[in-house]
Amino acid sequence: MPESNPPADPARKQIRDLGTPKSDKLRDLRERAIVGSLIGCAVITIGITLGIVFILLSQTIAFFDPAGHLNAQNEVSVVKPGDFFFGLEWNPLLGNEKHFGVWPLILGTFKVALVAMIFALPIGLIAAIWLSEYAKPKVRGFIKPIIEVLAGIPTVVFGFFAVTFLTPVVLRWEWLQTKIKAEDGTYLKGEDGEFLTEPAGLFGLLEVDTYNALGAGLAVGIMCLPIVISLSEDALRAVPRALREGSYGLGASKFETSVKVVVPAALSGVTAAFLLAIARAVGETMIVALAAGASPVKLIGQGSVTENLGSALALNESVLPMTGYMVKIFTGDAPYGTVEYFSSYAVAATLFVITLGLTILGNMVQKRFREKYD
Amino acid sequence: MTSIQASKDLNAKPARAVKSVDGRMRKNVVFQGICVAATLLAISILIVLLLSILSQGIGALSLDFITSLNSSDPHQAGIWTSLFGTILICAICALSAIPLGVGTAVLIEEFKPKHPLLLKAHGIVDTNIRNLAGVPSIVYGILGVTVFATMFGVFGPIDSGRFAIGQDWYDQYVDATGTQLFVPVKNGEVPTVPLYAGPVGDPLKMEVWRREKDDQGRLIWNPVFVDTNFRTPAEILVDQDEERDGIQPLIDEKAPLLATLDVVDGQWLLKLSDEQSELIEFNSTKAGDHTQVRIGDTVRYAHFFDEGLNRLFYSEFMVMNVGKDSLALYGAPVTSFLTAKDSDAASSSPSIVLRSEFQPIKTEINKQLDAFKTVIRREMGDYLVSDENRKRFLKFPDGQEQATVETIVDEAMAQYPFKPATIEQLRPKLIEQMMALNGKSSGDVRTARTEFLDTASSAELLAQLDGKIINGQNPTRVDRKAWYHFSLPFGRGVLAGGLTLMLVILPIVIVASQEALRAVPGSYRQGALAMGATRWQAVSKTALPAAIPGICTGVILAISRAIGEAAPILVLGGTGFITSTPQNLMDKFSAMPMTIFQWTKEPEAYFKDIAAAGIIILLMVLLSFNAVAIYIRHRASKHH
Repeated sequence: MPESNPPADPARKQIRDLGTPKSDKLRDLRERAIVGSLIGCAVITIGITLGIVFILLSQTIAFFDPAGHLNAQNEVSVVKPGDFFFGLEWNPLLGNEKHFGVWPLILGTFKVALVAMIFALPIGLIAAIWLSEYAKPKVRGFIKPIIEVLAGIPTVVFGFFAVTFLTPVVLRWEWLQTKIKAEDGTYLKGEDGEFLTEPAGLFGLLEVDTYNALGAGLAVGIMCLPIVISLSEDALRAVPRALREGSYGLGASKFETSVKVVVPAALSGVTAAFLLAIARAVGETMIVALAAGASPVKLIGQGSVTENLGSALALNESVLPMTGYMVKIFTGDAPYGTVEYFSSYAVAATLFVITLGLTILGNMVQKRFREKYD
Repeated sequence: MTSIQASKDLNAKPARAVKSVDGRMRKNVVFQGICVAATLLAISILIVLLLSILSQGIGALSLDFITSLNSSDPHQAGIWTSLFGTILICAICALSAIPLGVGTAVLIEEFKPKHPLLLKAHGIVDTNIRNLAGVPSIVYGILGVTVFATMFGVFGPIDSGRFAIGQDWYDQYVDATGTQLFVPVKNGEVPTVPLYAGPVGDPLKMEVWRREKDDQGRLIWNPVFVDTNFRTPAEILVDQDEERDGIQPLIDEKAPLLATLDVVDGQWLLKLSDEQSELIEFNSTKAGDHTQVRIGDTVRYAHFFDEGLNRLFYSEFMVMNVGKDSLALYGAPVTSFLTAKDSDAASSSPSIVLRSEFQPIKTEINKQLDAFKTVIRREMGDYLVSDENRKRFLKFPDGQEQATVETIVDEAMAQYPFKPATIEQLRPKLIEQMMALNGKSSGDVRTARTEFLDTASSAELLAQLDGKIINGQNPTRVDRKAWYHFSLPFGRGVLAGGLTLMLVILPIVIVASQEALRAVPGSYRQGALAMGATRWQAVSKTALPAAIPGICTGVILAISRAIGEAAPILVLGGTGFITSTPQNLMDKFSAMPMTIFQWTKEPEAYFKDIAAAGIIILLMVLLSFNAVAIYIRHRASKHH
């Protein structure tokens, strides 16, 4: 380093520690190179975002190609956008007559998400209120890591739990076998002379399929629970202390303060937590692929309106959500390049729009709330 | 606001407020009770989950389980294949995601542009990354398939793309002494020496199960060996003249014609009869026009429908061989029944039924397979120990001839874990097995018995091969890949898997790094800048070191997400038992969550146990990762 002087004072020494460049030109060049590479990183990241949109869009357009695609039976099938977005029947893997109406899949997804949210939102919010308002710091310090452990469990584990525990033990009551009754009131016997039995069903009343929306929904709800708890708790804790103290000063009880002051004040944050949880539930794949089953919801073609409605809303039956369909297609149910294969891109695009909408909404609501109290 | 209103209420009706104090307090206590119950529920779910997995998996957990490769036999399957795969793809994922993510975060946080337009773009990117974290991981999987695995099809199909290094193609012949002869070829070329000509061999004798009465007069299923070559045109008929276990068949007229088989232009066509269309399916096609019959197709029909119980009795045949004027169907009446609800699912998509929803069929097929093995064993046994072949291949150890043949046949059959194959398809495998077995007994034969031939000219090659090749043998197209094998497109291999996971965790890494950088006080950077440091120097010497613990925590949590993520790599890698660890970056892989998914889907009960054992290992890996993250966070907070 011929040009630099030995450092005399501490400030100079510090600059030297920061790394004195050989010359300004070299320093500038290095600076530019580094900033350039950082920009490169950012460009790749943005490219990925655009890539997702581009691929989903282009493949979806390809799916709606007026010339059509060969299907798995080597026939040309043409799908119109109207049939897809407004159709009420979904059976692309069935023989000759294929229907590509996406609503049964969307409904399937929301059936599972609905069960999940009915389970996770109230329990999650109440647990969050307790953690933020009632729990002593010591108890909180003990509970929080447990919730974090729950958050860190891979979703395939919840799927396994749904298949091996929730559905057989909690919903189907397989530990309680009942004899099968024939039409004439006698009990059926098997070849070996023993009575044939079947699981009792939920509370001995409701027969539940091996793969069903209820079990998958519960598992998704368990998966969403930590998200709801920690995000809601963050929102509740961000409410300034002054609000609580004001409430107590006016003679309100802890319950009244929590429910009438803190929760309304944190409402935007709690709403954001709920929206993000719904987005997670809608996009959940592994649980539904394992536990939800493979029959698309039947919206039409079963006789009366009430029957159709009944099967559309039944939670104890096998259901095929959007993510479940994609897993089916990509794990080998349809050959590459067929109309069934392309249909999964259209489904993916639909799912992408739904979840992105929910996430953007959630983040927007959350941002507004952040600006309020920071 | 609420409190003010409350106080107004108090002023307006003091008497009521005072009266209800007791009630209010009770409400408070009740609510607290509900709160504790909700939290306890959340915790007890976790405990139940862990206990149920532990109780199911602990029995299957052993050192062998950790070190064994995956297998279609659950008692031999281990986690090592997927553990190794997980380590590999997560390493690729970390190596690509960390520089990209941290770099992007540094740019967004530390180099805010001054130009208003750029600033706006900066804001959009900033918010979009947060939104990206909410995109379902399966969408990233689809992106990964399109971008990395197939590369939009620009470089040609996956397994034989336009660009490949470290991959050589050969036609493999086996000669009479068991030497494997490799002839170098270019992929896509027809075999240089088309040796295969003449008849395949005897028409395969098939086993057909017949219903008969046993000694006690009960109906049982008995295997009968028959020549199953149907002559044109053939008819598949259902015999339903018998009762089954006292259940009256619903259709009790004369046996209805279910389908006809015709030969048109040398192709076998099957037409399902219209009246019975509800009750028969062919290869997922319902009644309609003629459909071509190919090997491996499945014909399924219903015997009868039992109205009282809404059950459907099914049979299934597999098309085993399609000859010019013969068709070998192999099958057994499955005689499993579906309940009405299940049969709805069955008719809408039979392939699904076969795989997951209707397990009895799979078990039945396994039974059929066992029966099929008996035939093959006998056939191959005869083939192997016939005088000419005995001379050709091996000297059996004295008195162990039968046992050796059985071992060979069993090992060859294991190559076809699910779908029965024709004897012609099996023969090369059997010979291969024989070579391997021979090799075991007489030292390391593999190298000695492998010979690479030059393709100087076809005639020369023909001369080299002449007299060596077993009659009727078709060369097998094989490739040898070096450890550095690389190809475009990447295919459904390790590299594509790692990069796909990178897509999933990138937003998480960026957001975590951003938050860590944001937490560093601005005065750090200002101090450095005031002393004449450039912006990058200020960042790299002050802000970044201070943010490192936060970034590390974020990165570790992101990687633990990657370890547990199954959907995107499942979409990329597909299912199927991968029984070897990847040998190069393009090789097929499996990862722990993928394997757990597969095992859970399998009908055999013991697979659930090993899935639970796999989950225990997975959770242990994740817990140790999280422990490291907590430790780093703890140490960092101590320092500050």
